[in-house]
Order: sequence, then structure tokens, then C-alpha cells
Amino acid sequence: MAEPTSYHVAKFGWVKIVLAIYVVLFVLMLYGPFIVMAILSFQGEDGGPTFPMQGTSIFWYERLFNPSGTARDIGEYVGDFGNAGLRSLVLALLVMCISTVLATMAAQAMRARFLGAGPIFYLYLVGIMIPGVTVGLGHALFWQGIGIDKHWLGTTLPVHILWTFPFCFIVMLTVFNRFDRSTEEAAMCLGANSWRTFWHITLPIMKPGIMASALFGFTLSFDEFARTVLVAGSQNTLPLDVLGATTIRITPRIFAVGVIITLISFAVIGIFGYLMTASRYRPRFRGQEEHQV
Amino acid sequence: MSDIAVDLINVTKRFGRDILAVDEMTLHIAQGEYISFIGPSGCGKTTTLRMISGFEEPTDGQILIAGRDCTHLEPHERNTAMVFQHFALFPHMSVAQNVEFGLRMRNVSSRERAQRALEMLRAVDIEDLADRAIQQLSGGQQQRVGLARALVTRPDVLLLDEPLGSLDANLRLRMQRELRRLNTDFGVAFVHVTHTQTEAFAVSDRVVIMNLGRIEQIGPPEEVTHRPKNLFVAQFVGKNNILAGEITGVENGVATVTGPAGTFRARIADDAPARKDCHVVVRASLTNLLLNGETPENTVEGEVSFSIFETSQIEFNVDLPSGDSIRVDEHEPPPAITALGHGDKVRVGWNTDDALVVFE
Repeated sequence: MAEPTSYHVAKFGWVKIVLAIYVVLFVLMLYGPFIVMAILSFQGEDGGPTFPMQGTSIFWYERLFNPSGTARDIGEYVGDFGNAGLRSLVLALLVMCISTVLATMAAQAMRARFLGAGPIFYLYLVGIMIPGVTVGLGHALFWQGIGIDKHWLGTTLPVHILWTFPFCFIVMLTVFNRFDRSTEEAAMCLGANSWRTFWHITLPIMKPGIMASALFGFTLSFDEFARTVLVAGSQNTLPLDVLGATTIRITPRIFAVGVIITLISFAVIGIFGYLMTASRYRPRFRGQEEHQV
Repeated sequence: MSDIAVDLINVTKRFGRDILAVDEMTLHIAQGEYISFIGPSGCGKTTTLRMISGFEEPTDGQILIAGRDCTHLEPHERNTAMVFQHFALFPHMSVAQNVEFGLRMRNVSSRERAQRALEMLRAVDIEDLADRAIQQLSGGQQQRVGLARALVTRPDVLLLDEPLGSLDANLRLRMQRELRRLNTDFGVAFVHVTHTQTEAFAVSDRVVIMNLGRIEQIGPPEEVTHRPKNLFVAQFVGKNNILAGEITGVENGVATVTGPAGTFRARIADDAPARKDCHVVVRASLTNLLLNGETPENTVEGEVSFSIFETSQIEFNVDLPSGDSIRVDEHEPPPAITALGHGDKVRVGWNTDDALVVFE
């Protein structure tokens, strides 16, 4: 007399084992390269981008911020990762803010189901479909045509926003889809005009969605290569610089950059995660009366 | 003027060109009155509520709230409050913050806000939940927060849109009593939209029965139950038997009606239209299965098709040779009647005073 559970284990045991192996392999594929990269980034001064390790050092991390020395010492392409990283960060933050604000506004507008909303919805999404290099080339020709010099911020920002906006827009749309319109109506009945309703009710309830949209905007811009390469001009963003560095000669310095970028990404996700959960109301402990002024 | 909470004067609402949601509606709701709107879906009851709250603008007509013309004012410019079916509480605020919201929008000082919110929470019996998160509350508690949040602003009228619709049956009965009590305690007019008749009848001073954007009948629950004004109300309200026929004579307020099911005598209103085709209406609870020897004024013969046992009554459905079907609710019947079932030949009878003639 087998229990139902043991029957299941007996019958599907091998399926579970296969799935477990699959999951382990998946995680290894996901994090393996990063772990290898992290180890190799501490390669000794004489070591190369592959095993075996020639001792350990933080030489390659030091070289990150001293590129001129690197160029003389090892003949590597002069990747100015520090400044390129700073440019990418400024660019990504701006793109994040502008995209999220625009996406929130657009999604708000879509709720009204105005005439032509359908076609406009699809027009918004076209940015995802067009190959990135084509977009970049088009923009490069456009800036050239009207006589504006290419720049890592001025001419790159619009291209990045065109790229990130549809993603942010979709995120905001899905969030608004689950949004209960009657909470806004409740606020209006209670004396809030449309601006105060948006500020006190819509925005706080939307906050997790806005965070997710911002995260998309930031990471998509920070990583962007194909659209950026033709419009950024003479000063590189980080992805351009990293790729440039690999085309001449690969050293463990690239791994050091990778490790730092990955750690920054984890930190960003951590911050967003914290902000998302912190935006919910949590009950206070007893005895901490809210209204005792 | 000041004892009227809401005046609807010839209010019409069209959606697009074709849809007439509310048609020339005139209604006066007194201060402190509890009034319910019932009717089939699409009858315009929710649209009317939304016009009072300001979420829909009338196509024509006028809406006064506490004597002030509010026809074209935004919702936040009116002193109304609303309770929603799915509560619509603010999920990012505590219970107390939810209740205080309306006062915050009216720039009431934080000290007074806190005090009034607490009083209000006490009035709906949940003062100990003030610092809870909304997600921690049960459905009944959430609706209490909804009520507190609405009433704390001292509105001229409280609008309730299917307020008990998402509560379970037992809780619904408790909340009906609660609503009735709050209406009495606060003296605020309540306008309640529901598709549950028993709920409307339980709580209301007056019931408004709507159909196709028009008011079919307004009156206290007893009145619309006992004296339906027309065929629609007779069909919609309560459990009525309706038999079609033609008037063959009227004498002392009693009409003789002959139809496929037989000839019956029934009360007829003095102001009844001068028409022959009509319907005789008699409530299921006022009809009886007849034992030998009983001969009331109106009888029909038929066959029991099925019966349904409820705690204190049995509902018999009797098929007549005319093709009509009659429902008889027997309250605590004797064994001779309890024993009746499918296929049994029975006689059904009722008094002339309990039957009423209505017209389409």
C-alpha cells in the first residue's frame, strides 16, 4: 500500500534527477564565466588571460586607473575605463530618468483609450524591432546632415532613449493593467484633484513598476553598443571601450573591468530591490503610536 | 431646501448617440434618508450614482447636492463620499492614513485629523486596527475602513456602489445592519446601488426600481413588494405569480379578469389605465395548496412539477393546463401538504384581496 507521495517519487524520481542536473548545469553556465573571470582578474603581473595563474596580484585593478602606464608597459590598447565608465554612468542615469518619465506619461495616456491609441501603441514598440546598427547609422547621418558634432552625451542620449523607451513603456503598461482605477476615484471623491490624486495615490501605488522601468532603462543604456558605436563620437562609453580593448590584445585587465561592472550591477539591483519593498506600508510595533505629537 | 440631500432634475445621460443610459430622471433624496437603486444590469442605476459623484457628466438636466448646483463640478469639488465594491482602499497607507486622507485633502490639521479618524474607527468598531496595513485585514474589516474613510469627511451624501458585493453571505447580513445603524447615527443620506433585492429591501427607507434608464417605481420596500405599479415591477420584485388575461368587468375596486388559466378576481387601482389586457399578480407566499373542503375566492388546478425544501417553508411549483406555472410558498405546512410531490394533482387558491391587476 503505497502512499500517494511515495508513488509519485517512485514514478517521477528519474525526472526529478534529470531536472536537478539541468538546473545545476544552468546555474553553472550562468555564473561559471563570472567566477572564472573573477579568479583570472587576480592574475599575477606576468600572467595572461588564461590559466594557469602566475601567482596572484591586484596589478590589473591598479592598471585600470592608470592606463597610460599600461600602454607603455604592455602595449595594450589605451582603454580609459575610469572616464568611460563615468560617461556611461551619467548617460545611463539620464536615460533612465527621461525614459521612465516618458513611459509613465505614455502609459497614463494609453489608459484613456483615445482615438488612435492602437496605432500609436505599435509605433511606440517599433524601436525594439529595428536593428540597432541601422538606428545608429540613421542617427549618425542625421546629425552629420544638420551639422552637429557627434558626442557621447548630446547625440547618444536620444538614440538610447529611443531604445529604452519601449521597454519602460511595456513595463508601465503591464503595471497599469493591474491598477485598480477605483482607488483613484476614491481619492477624487475624498477631495483630491487630479494632480493630488496622481501624487498621493497613483504614483505611490505605481512605485514598484516605476522602479522596474527605471532598472530596465538604466541597464539597457549602460550596456548599449550597437546603437552607440556610430553616434558617440571620439570619446567612448564603457562598452565601446571594453570592446576596443579586446580587439588589440586581451589582458586580465578586461576581467578586472568585468568584475567591477558586475559588482556595480548587483549593487544597483540590490538598491532597487530595497526601495521596492520599502515603498510598502508596514505596521509599526505596538507602543509606537503614530499620532502622538 | 436644506433638508434635501440630492436633487436630480430631469437628468439624462447618453453614451454616444445610441445609448440612453438615464432618461429624464427626477428624484429627491432627503437628508438622512437611505435609498437604494435596484434593477437589471444596464438599467442606469450605476450611471446615476456616478453622475451624483461627478464621474459622469449628465447630458441634460441638473444635479443639486445639499441645494448647490453640482451638475458640472468635478468629483473633488462636491461634498460626496463613496464606498466601493472592492473597497478601493489605498494599499500603501495604514488604516488610519486611509481614513485621514479626505481630511488631509481638506487641509485639516494633523492633530484634528488623527482625532477624527480615531473617532470614526471607533464608530465602525475597528479602532484597534488603526496602525495595521490594509493587506492584513479581512474583507469585512476592509469595508469598515472604506466606510470610515468615506464618513469621516461628513459628506452631504454617501454613495455605496455594491458595497457588500464582495463579502460572503453571513458577513453581508451583518454589514446590512451596520449600514442601517450608521445611516441612523450619522444622519447622512445613503444612496445604495445593488443587484440584490433582499439587501436593498433590508436597509432602505425607499427603493428605486429602474429599467432602461427610467424609474419604474419608487417607494418603501413594503409598498413595492405589495403594490407593484406595473408588470415590470411585479416581475422584478419578490416572488410573484403572474397570469395574463382581459378585464371583463370592474366593481368596487375589484376587477374580473379572464385568461387562459381561468377567471380571477383581483384588486385594481382607481387610477388604472382604461385598458383590457392586463396581468393578475399574486405573491407566492399568499397562495396555498388547498386541502379538501377549502374554497377560497380564486382557485386553479394543476400538477406539482417539483418542490424545494427550505428551512421554514416548502416551495411548490405547479404546472397549469394553460401552460402557466404557479409558485406556492407554504410556510411550515401540515404533513398532508409536505407529502405532496412531483406529479400530484393539486388545487391552488388565493384571496381576491391578495391579488392585484397590473398593466404593461
